[in-house]
Amino acid sequence: MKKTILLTIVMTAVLALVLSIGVFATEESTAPVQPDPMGQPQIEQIDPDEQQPSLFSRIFNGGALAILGAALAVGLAGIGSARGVGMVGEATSGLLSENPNMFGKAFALMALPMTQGIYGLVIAFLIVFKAGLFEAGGMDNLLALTVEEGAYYLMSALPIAVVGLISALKQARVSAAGINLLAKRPDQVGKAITSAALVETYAIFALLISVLLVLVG
Amino acid sequence: MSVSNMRKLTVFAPKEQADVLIHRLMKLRCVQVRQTEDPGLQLSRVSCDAQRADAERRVATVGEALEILAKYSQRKGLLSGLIQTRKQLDMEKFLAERYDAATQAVHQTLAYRQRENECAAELAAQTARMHALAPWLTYNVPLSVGSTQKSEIMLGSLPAKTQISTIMDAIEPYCAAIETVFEDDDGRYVEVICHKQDSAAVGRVMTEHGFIKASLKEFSAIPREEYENAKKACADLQTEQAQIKQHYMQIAEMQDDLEMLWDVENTLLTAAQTKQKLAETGYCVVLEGWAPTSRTDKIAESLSAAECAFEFEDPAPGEEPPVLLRNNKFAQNFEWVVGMYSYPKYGTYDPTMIMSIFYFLIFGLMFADVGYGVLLALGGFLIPPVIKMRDGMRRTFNMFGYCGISCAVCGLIFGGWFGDMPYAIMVNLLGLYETTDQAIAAVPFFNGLQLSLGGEPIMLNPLSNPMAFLVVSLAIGAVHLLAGMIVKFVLLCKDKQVFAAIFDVGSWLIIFAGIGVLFLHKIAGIVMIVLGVLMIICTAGRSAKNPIMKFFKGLLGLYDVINYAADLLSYSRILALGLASAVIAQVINMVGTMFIDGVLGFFILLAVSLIGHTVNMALNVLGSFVHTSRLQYLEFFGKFFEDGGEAFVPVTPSDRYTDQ
Repeated sequence: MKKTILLTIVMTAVLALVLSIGVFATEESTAPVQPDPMGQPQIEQIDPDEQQPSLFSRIFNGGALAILGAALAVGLAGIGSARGVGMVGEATSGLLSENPNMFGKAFALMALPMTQGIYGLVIAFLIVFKAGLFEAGGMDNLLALTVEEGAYYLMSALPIAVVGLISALKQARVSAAGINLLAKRPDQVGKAITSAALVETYAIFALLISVLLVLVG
Repeated sequence: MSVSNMRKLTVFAPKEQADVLIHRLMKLRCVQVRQTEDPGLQLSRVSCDAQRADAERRVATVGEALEILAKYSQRKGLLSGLIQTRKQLDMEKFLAERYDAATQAVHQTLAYRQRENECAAELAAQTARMHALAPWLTYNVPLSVGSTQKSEIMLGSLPAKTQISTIMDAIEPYCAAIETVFEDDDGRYVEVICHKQDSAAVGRVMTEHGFIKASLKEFSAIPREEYENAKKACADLQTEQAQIKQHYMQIAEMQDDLEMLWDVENTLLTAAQTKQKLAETGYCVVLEGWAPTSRTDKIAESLSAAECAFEFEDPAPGEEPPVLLRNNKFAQNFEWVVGMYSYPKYGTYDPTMIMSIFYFLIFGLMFADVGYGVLLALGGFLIPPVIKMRDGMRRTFNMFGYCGISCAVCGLIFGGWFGDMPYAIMVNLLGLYETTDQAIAAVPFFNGLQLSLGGEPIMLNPLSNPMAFLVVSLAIGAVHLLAGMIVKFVLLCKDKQVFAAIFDVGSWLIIFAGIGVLFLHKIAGIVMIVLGVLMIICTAGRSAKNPIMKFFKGLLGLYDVINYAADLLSYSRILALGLASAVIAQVINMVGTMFIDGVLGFFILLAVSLIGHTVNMALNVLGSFVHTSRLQYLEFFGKFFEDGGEAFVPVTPSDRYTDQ
């Protein structure tokens, strides 16, 4: 499990890096040729094929980087929440097999690891809002983003993407343990919820930083 | 405002009056009975194990009957199931008039359930018989006839693919005959007749071809007759089952009585359990318990009328009375939040009142929205009286009701009406403005207050200006933390630890006040901060004896600044959670208004809102509740709270279905 998480994070970082570098490289190579400072017209004949941006830079432009950021935020945090809610759900089924009346109390514990995915969703929406996808112009606004802007959104999404993933998993473990506590001491549900909520603190801080970066940037 | 004072109650009563005494105390609802302590008086425990086991059994039986009858309840529909009208129960009257009938109904129900189970088993058996007989319906020989004088009959089945001619060839040498009785996809049902002396050999040959003997030993008449018998038995059983359901329906009309019976039996069980805690001499029982000082008069009045002797005394040193919190009408709704953490130790400070104010504020900030707030307030205040909720649950609901008011007020200030629903309607549905920004400029009312600070307009809406909201969050946090420290200061002073109060808490208060003054007057602020820091360095190590250690411990005392900073930053979650709910609400509004303009659009918005805003509200109420509680427990209570009190649980009549 740890390996999977690590691999995901490393791959994400590498992918983002490679893309940014690649996009920069292709942008520079396809940048319009500056006129000579001497005012001499360029003699070099430009091949009409070369003036078209390459496929790579057409796909991996600023807009795509912004979308990658949104996708990572909602994707990684969502993976964490999905696994997390699943883990607590399994534990809950065990509890319910003995005492079906506990569903209400167990539900709060099940819902706790759900929030990280929602935080990721919030960031994803903020990015596409800020990128102007839902304003007049729609897709064109997104495509008009420079690579720097796109990369900025991508980096802004990373806190909630990474922390959301891990804190959801860890919170799920505390919640699942809380379900066991609930099985033996139903009156102690408040303490189980509070313990699980402590883990969420760091997802909230990550969300806060991501939100501020996206909104203020 | 405080933890109630408790007094110890000791009652002596004649043995035969024990039950009466316990029921009397139950009615008072303000005495917690404890295990009677026996400092060398050689009292024996009251033994009522049989009474208790009997009560337990009866509660279980009534519960079982209620579960069976629930399906046949007359209270149809989701709403009437939820809105249970709680009944008034007069226990003596019920015991005298209706107890026997209700108990009778319970026994009937259980007897019917037993008969129902028997029917089901019998029905399964008869159905199996019908299945076994089905292929043989055209076979017209009584099944009891297995052989004649010289020949033997074998009935059984062959695999579907077997060719009958192959078998005929195989059994030819034994002069045996085979005849197909019935044939379907599963197999071929055949009758084989052979000479008695050859039966073993024929059987072997048949088995080689996949012949399986039919097991029809239990039948004697011809198959059709047996089949009809089984069918008739099935029909009879089904009729009986239908009749039993009718009986259930009839008994279910007494559901009210049965529910009362459950409460009566459960009350009797509580009485038996309480009785086990008493001690006895030859003729007397001794009951010990705790009661709030404010109720002692009422208890004395009630007990004077009974046949017993009693006395109240103050708790002896070393004794830990249970804790009952006493607060005003607003704060008492928040007592359960304190209880969820831990009750304060007996005789210490009850933080409910001051906590409830901050809870109210922080919850509102976290979930600042007029729409959600009004819904929450309506739910919190209207649901309890409609479904006649019990007191404990009512307080929980009322707490959320108050929090809803706070949410609505904060929503007015910070601009939340189901997210940005007014603007979404204006821009997307009505087309009054081109963009949301124009709409906000034209109708700023829905976007929250606008302050002007130093000539610069500051929008308080967290989405437009998150930094302003962050400052508000941290400011509330600072006030909350300071309140915690001031409480600690006062508590230490009351405890006559004035030095600890001034040096450990006061010095920090001076530093924080200095930081505040810094904005008004620079030099005065710096002087205050330096003064506070010096105080800490000089005094934090006062417990150490070695002067060098004193100095280093003093320096170490400054390290606390990190804890305070971490505590303060923790309040930034108010902004994060507020933003999360606002953005999700905005998305829901967008989805609801993006498809069609005009009147039809309103219907779509309504449909989308019903689902979307409900889910968003549920998640955010949970989130705000959990995180507001957390801020109280860790950041606030951590400053002063002495936990470890045991909750006061008086003996009361059972009240699942009824009020007594």
